[in-house]
Amino acid sequence: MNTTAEVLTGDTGAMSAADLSGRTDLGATVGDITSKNPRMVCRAVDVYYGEKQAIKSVSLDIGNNEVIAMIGPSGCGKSTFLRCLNRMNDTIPAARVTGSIKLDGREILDKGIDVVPLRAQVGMVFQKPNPFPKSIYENVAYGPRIHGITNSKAELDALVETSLTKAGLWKEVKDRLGEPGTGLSGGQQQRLCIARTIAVSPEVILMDEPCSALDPIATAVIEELIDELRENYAIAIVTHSMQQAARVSQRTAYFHLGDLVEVGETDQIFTNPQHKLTEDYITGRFG
Amino acid sequence: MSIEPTKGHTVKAYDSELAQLRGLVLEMGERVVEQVTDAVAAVVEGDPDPAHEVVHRERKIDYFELDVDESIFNIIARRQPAAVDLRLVLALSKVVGNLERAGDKAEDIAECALRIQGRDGCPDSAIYHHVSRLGKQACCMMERAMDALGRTDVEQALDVFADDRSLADEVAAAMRHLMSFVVEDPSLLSQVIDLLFAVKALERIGNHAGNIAEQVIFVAKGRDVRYQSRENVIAALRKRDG
Repeated sequence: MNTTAEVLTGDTGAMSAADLSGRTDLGATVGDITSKNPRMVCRAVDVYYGEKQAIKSVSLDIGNNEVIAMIGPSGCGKSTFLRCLNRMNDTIPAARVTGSIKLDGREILDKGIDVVPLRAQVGMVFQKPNPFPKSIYENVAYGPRIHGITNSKAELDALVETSLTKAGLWKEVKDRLGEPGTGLSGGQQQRLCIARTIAVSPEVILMDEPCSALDPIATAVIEELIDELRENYAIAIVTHSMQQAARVSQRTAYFHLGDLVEVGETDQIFTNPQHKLTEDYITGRFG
Repeated sequence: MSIEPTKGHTVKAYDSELAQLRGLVLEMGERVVEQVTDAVAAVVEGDPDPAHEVVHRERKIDYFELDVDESIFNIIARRQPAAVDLRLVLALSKVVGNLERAGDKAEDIAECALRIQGRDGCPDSAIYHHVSRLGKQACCMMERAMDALGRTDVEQALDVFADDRSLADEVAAAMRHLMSFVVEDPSLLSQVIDLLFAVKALERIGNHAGNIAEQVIFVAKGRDVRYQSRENVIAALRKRDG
């Protein structure tokens, strides 16, 4: 419970990006960029595509056991920032990332980092479900097998079952594990992709508009799953649906033209955003 | 009076729905002030006509509340308002409740007027002075609160808080003075009791204006200042903005 003075003045002592970087220009992030229990710590991250700067000195923590939603109009840089978190931007030749991104205190932007285990630790679920053209079982077993996570067929079977169970799909597919993953419905395919991500024991799960290709019922199932997964993982989700951001996240970050304009608790962002741009976007007056 | 958003929504129909809602609430405010004015006139001037009209129009105030509630219900269901829009819609929902209760109080005053007129009048017109004075004060507060709402004007809302304090002092003085009439002439007891009811009703109308001012602050600042010391709220917000 805030004190009367805090309620009236809004002064909660939160740390902003401006506090950390000394920036005082209009681009300084409003709100507290830090997490009480950070899994990833990003500071002054810039991303360039050739000459064009897509992300401008973004600082943000991704906290354990919480969902952070990244919202903003198309082209604002939210997906670009998400892709920095497991170095997916490495696959784009003209992309250049500077600044610091630490996972459990370890710098992931170092050139010496092997991105293959990094992408197991920081898994990604994409907009369109993309199961491998293999069986349901193999879709989940593939990652643990190549990462050498299990030692026996029995262990692998158990891991497949656990991963499918955590993804809320086990009961629906346990009797047809040999059937192609591509034969599942869209929502089931997305949950299969989540099971595939979980199977390699990630610490962080990145989701890039995971429900945009799904109907409302499948979307609700994924959102319920996200809420359950939060108990064990740090989750960052990019979504164009503000209502989805409001429903699934505990913190929300608003991006605009490459700037992280505002970050705060989701309750606050959707009821009393402090930056005019955030308010205009949230209320449908902009974008 | 109008509450102007900083910029229109991309979906223009949403703007129209919010504008219609705001218009309804502001119109309801004007009608309530009219009710209070006429009810007080009925008491002070001893004229039964405005009292009957107030009683007759009370139902229309209730219908305003139903219309506003339906509009809010539909906007929440269809638009899922957020941020300042959400605060405005929730605030208007509370404002309309306060207006409806203020309307009820105006009807109470009108009924007091009719009861007083049914008895032998008091030869001393000074007995009605307080009702006249407090009526003007309560109407002024309600108009200021509605104007503050219409313009999302925090300063004006804070002024209403200050008025609410002085209204309480005036009410206490009025009650003491009215009781002195009974001491001098016990046959005036019935009239004085009705006048005390009218005074207390006007105090409540002023309180409702204060509640509406709280909602203006909620819309403008996103801060819920209900159940907090008004003095602290005034000091904190004036200091912050000053």
